[in-house]
Amino acid sequence: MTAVDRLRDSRTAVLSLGAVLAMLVLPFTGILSTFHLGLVISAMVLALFAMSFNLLFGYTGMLSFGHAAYFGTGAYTLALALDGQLGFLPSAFESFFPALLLAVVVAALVALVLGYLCVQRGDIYFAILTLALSMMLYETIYTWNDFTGGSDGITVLAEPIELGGLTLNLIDTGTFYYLTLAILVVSIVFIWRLINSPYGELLLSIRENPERATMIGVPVKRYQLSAFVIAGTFAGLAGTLFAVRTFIVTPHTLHWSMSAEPVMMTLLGGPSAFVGPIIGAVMFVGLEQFLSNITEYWQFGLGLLIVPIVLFFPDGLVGILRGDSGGIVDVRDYLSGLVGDEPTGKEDTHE
Amino acid sequence: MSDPLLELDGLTKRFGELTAVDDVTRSIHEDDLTALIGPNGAGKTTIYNLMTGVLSPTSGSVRFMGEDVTDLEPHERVHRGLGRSYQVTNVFEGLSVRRNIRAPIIARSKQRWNLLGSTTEEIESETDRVLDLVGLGDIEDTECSALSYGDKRRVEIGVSLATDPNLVLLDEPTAGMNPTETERMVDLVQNLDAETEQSFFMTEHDIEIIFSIASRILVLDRGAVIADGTPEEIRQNERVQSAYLGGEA
Amino acid sequence: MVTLDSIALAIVSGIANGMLLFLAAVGLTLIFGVLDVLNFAHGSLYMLGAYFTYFLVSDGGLLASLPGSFWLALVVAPLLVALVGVVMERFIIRPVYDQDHEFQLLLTFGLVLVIDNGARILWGTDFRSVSPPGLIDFQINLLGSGYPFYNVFLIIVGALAALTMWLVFERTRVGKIVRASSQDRGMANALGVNVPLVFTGTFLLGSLLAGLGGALAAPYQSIQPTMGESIIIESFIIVVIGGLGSFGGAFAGALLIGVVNSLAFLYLPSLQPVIPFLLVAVVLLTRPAGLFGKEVAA
Ligand SMILES: Nc1ncnc2c1ncn2[C@@H]1O[C@H](COP(=O)(O)OP(=O)(O)OP(=O)(O)O)[C@@H](O)[C@H]1O
Ligand SMILES: [Mg+2]
Repeated sequence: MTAVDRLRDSRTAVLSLGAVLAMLVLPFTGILSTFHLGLVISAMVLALFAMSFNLLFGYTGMLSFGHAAYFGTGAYTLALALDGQLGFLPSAFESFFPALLLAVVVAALVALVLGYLCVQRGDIYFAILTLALSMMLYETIYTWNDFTGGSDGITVLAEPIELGGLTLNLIDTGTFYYLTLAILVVSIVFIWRLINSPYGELLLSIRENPERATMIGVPVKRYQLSAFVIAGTFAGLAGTLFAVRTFIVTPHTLHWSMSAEPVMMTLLGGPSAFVGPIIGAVMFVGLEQFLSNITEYWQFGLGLLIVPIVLFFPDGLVGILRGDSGGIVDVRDYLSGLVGDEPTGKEDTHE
Repeated sequence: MSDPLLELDGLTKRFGELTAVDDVTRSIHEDDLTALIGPNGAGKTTIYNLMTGVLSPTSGSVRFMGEDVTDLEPHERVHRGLGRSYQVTNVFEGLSVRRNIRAPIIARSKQRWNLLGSTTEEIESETDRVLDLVGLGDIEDTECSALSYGDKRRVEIGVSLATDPNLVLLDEPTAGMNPTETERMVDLVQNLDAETEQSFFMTEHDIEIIFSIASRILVLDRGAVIADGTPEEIRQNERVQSAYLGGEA
Repeated sequence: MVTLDSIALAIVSGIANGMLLFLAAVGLTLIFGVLDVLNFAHGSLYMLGAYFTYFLVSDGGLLASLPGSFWLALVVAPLLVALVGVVMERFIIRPVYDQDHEFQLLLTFGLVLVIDNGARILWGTDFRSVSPPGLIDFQINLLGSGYPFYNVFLIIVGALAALTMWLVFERTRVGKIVRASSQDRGMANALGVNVPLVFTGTFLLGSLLAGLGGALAAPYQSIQPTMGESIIIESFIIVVIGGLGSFGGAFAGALLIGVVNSLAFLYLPSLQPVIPFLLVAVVLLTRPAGLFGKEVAA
């Protein structure tokens, strides 16, 4: 490790510690109303969702358009368990933490089964299949009225939790804020370790060049599937928090438009940076607040943002702040290309 | 003579009407630096794809170190000691040189399923060793996309060597190189062949290079082996001259 | 009741629906085959085709007062959609021809957001409908029951479109040029083919077909902004089954999905929504390269 690395590492450590401390005291500062604190919770939940997505997209090179399948599975499992509808299980699962654990395990299992199908054919089919299979789950939940409540969904009532003399009332915004923060921080540390591990390094090799990764002895499909299951697990975890926060779970949590949210957040923040999805989640919640005042169909505005971001700033806000857009198309080239007839961005690479 | 390292038996590959590899039966031995030559489209790369498992043969089999590997996945063949470099540079562009070399080393160690820890000393020192071997030590932190073409080809070889292969398949290691780069690459291959345990099996367009470094040459034409022998024998062979050398001049 | 007649009728309906699926999926697969671009917004073009038709023929529409307005709309709406497609290709997609497929998907996903939500903002989310023109708005007697002729009309138009396309691609010089450009851009360029023009032309044709599908769907199903997302997901399923870039795969896949859906709707209504997806799973596990997929090596 060089001195520069050490310096960078210690700077990261100080910054992260500072961020966690700031988040810890935030509710006490009084600068946020309950409503705004709620928005912060939403951003944290979505940040977790987006990070799980980016473990696949940014670190393994797999674009999942069906990530809501695991998010929604987590949400539904928690709701059904708390509601006592999983009668075949011990009643212990009707309380929050066991139900949460169950939800995460079920999300992982669903990710294992669907993921197995999705990694069968590489490249572009992966995106298509994740989308298609997540919509299958959506249709199933939507049609399976008796069990899932169909389009009405299931209300989520988290009873207060007794924890060693301490009573946690999840309906209380402040309490839920801290629970969400704790889960988010632990997850971030876990994902950070993961991408910096030997295993994570092989994921990077798959992102860069799956064909070559095979030829250096990486069982590519097995790695892709394992990353998919890990990502699905964290998405399920985010889904459980989402369920508690919104008090109701509807089929929308599995719909492709829900799958699109982590995609958009990651693009906004920047997939190439670890914090990209977190920043993107904050931007997303902010944009939603701002744009939905103008039109109910506020994602129109998001689309107008996404197109130029992908073209010119694929490293998102983080890339722009770093002063390195990473764009394949230069804005000026593009604009002059519109006037002249030169096609832009069609540089052939060495073959 | 020792047991053959690699044996191809009746190896055939058809793409629709086209027979790209036609009933090839040959063995490759450890002590040789074997070369596979033939005009464009003769089927050299396809033979490599069959040996490494990227394609499965229409018929015939591949044995490696005495074991039938015809039905094994590519990565399983790599673990058994079959390494490969590509005709078109095919490295991990967005990663540093060091990470390019380290990845295959992780992939063959137990660390490959280490999800939360860090790499071990062993892996790091093995990485250093391979970096030295191909002379990339001083640019180890450079991202591959920023390297010159010649350096990239060295990374390409380094990545293959880092899999710790018994046999390395080099598909046109000097493709697209300028004379200086070519010379450095030829030196590298010669040194590696002399100094390390690995054996090499290479294809090459530049026949002079082949004649100067190979000890055995197979000539492929339209998928079939039309000659097999020492450089001297190949030079004399009339069929080769008409099918290949003649066409080249 | 399961009778041979009812099965036969369900199959005919399935083929009719399959033709609409084909018109959508074939453009997707054609653009992928030639341009190597996967256009997520292709379904949105289909949706626009249906809306354009509605606004052309409904009360106060541009063509409403003309005789044969539906027939005119069947020409005009696809042309308008093709125009949208060409603008899209020229200004947004052209710069990313050589990029990763993921990249193209993300970009065109942005377009889906713009077009689909734009439609909601402009036209609301209410269902709209168009009735078939009098000429073909009648029932025929098929196997002893009354059957809407419009479905038969769909089959005829779809089959004609498929046949024309096949003839153009297999038998004409234009077809040869397009196939050459899809196989090797550099070579086609060297041979004097105007590759950018071929690409734009292909995108135009693909959009036109999607627009035609949408226009034909206008009297067949209710028109709403979510039509685009449904059809793109169905098209994706079709190309997974048939193999991306394969004309025959798109045709066979579309008819298969159409017929299976229609039979399932009749006999397994509760499972119907998931059956296409199960079909995908079966294909993946048994024929990983798709029904018409080809072996590719590095
Ligand atoms: N995946 C494939 N599908 C169809 N045909 C193929 C495929 N791969 C190779 N071919 C054909 O097989 C023949 C042999 O090709 P191959 O690449 O093995 O030749 P080569 O000897 O390596 O040529 P070069 O010297 O140009 O590298 C060629 O005619 C080629 O077009
Ligand atoms: Mg070759």
